[in-house]
Amino acid sequence: MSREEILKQLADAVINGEEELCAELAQKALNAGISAYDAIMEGCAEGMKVVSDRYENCEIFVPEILVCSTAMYKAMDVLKPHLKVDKADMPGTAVIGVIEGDVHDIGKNLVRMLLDAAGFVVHDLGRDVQLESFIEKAKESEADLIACSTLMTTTMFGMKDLVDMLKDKGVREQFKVMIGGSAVSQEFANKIAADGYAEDAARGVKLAKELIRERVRER
Amino acid sequence: MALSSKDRVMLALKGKKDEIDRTPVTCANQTVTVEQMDNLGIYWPEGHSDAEKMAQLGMAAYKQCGLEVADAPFDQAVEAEILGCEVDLGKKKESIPSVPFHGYKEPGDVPIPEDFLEKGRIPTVLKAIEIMKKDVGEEAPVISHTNGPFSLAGHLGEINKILIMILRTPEKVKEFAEIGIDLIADYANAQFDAGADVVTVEDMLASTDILSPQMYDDFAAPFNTACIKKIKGPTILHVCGKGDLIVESMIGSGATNISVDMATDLNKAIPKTRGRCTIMGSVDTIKALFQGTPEIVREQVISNIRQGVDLVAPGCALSPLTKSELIKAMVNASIEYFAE
Repeated sequence: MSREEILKQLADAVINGEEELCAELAQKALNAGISAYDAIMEGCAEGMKVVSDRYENCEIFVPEILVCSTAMYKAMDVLKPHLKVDKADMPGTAVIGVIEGDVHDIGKNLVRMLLDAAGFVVHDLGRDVQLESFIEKAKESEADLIACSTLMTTTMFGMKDLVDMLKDKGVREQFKVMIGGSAVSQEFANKIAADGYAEDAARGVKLAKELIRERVRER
Repeated sequence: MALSSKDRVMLALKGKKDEIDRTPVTCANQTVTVEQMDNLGIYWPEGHSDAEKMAQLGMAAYKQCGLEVADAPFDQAVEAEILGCEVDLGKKKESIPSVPFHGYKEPGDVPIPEDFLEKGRIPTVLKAIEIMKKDVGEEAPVISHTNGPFSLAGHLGEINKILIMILRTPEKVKEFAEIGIDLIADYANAQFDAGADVVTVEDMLASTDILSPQMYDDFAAPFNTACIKKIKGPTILHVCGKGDLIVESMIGSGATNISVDMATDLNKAIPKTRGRCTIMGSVDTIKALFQGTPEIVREQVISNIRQGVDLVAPGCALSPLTKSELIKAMVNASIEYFAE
C-alpha cells in the first residue's frame, strides 16, 4: 500500500468509527515509515475533519462523534509513543476542563477530541475542575491556551473568577482563554475579558487555532 | 368569580381554554432561586434533603412572585441516588445536585431496592409534597418532578458511555432505560398519593442537542410512553432542545401536556399538538429570564401567547440566579395582556 493509501484508509477508519482497524492502520503507517506526526495530521485529523463537518451540518449527532473519537484514540494510542515532540511543529498546548461545580462534560469531551485530532497537546482535567488546577496545569505544561466550559448559569461565574485569578497572579498574558457551554455567550466572554467564545465544538477548534495564531503574532 | 392559579393551570393543561380567564404562567421544572432563599433564610443544599425546607422553597416562586406552581424536587439525582449512584448535593446555596457517578457497566449491575419508595430522598420529596399540598394546595397546583427513563439510564450508565452504547450495543441502552419504567411510574404515583396535582417527567438528557430525532424515537420515546401509561394522573413531558424535531413522539407519549425548550420552533410544534395534548413554553431561561430585562421577558411571553401556547412557562428549569423581578414580569405579562 502506498503512503497515501494508508493515510486515506486511516482517515476512513476514523470516519467509520472502526476501532481495531484504526489501531491496525496506525501500526501499518509506522511500519511503512510514515512519521507518527504525519499519520496523526494526515490520517486521524483528516478523518476527524470530515466527522466534525458532518456534525456541524447535523448529518451526525453526538453518539456518532463519540464513537469516531474512540476509534481515533485507538490510532493515537499506537502513534503517540512514536511522536517526536517538537513543540514548534505542534499547533499548541491546551489545558481543558469543565468549571468547578459542574459535571456536564459532553461538550468539553467533543472539544478535547477535536483539539487532539488537530494536533494540539491536550491536558484534559476532566469535569468539576478547581480553578487553581487550570492555572497550575497551564503553568506546568507551558500551555498556550486554557479552554473551559460549563452548561450551568450557576457555575459560569467561575470563568470570570478564573480570568481574574490569572490577572491577580500576573500570568493573564501568558495564556489565551476560551470559553464554551450553553449558559455562556460571546457577550459574556467580552464581559469577563476572555479571549474567545465558541458556540459548538467544531467552532471551538477553529477558535483555538485562531487564538494560537494571534498568540504567535503577538510574540 | 376569579379562578385560582390551581384551577387555571389544571384547566389549561386539559385544554379547556374556554373556561379560563387568561393563559396561566407556570413551570414544568424547578423554580427555586437564591433571591427566594435569601427572603426565606432557607438554603440549598439543606433544601434538597429536608422536607420542610424543600416545601418552603418549592412554594417560594408562587408566594413571592406569583408563578403559578409549587414544585419539588429541584434536581435530577433522586432516582439515581436510590439506585446506588454517587450523588453530590453541592456545597453552595446555588448548587444543583449532580451525579458524578462513572456508570454501571451492565444493566444487570444496577441494584434495585425492593422498598425504594422508602430510600434516599424519596420520603423527603413525598413529605415536601404533602406539606405544600396542605399549605397552598387549594390555590396553586403542586407539580412534582421525576426523570424520564432515558435520562435515568444516562445517570446509571454515565451519559457519555450510554451515547457510545447507542451505536455499539443498542440493546444494552434499552435495558438500562427499561429499569426506569416501573420505578419512575411507581415514584410518580406515590407523588400523586402525597398530593401532587401533576407530575413532570423530565427527560433532559434526551435533548436533541445530544440525540438525533431517530435516536430519541428508539431510546427515549418508547420508554416515556410505557412509563406515562402507568402513571395515574396528569403528566407533563419535558424534553430539552429543539422540541419541534421530536414533537410527534413527545405527543405520542400520551402525556397530558408537553413542555418545550426555547430552542423549539413553536410555529411548527404547536399546530401538531392541537386536539392531542396541550403545550407549555418557552420563555428563554438564559437570554430573557437570567440576563434579560422585564421588557424582554414581557415580549417573549406575549409572543408565546400569540403563537398559541396553552400555558406560558420557562423553556427549562429556572436558573437559581434568576431575579424575582423577572419572574414577576413573566407572570404580569400574561395578566396585563389579557386585561387589555
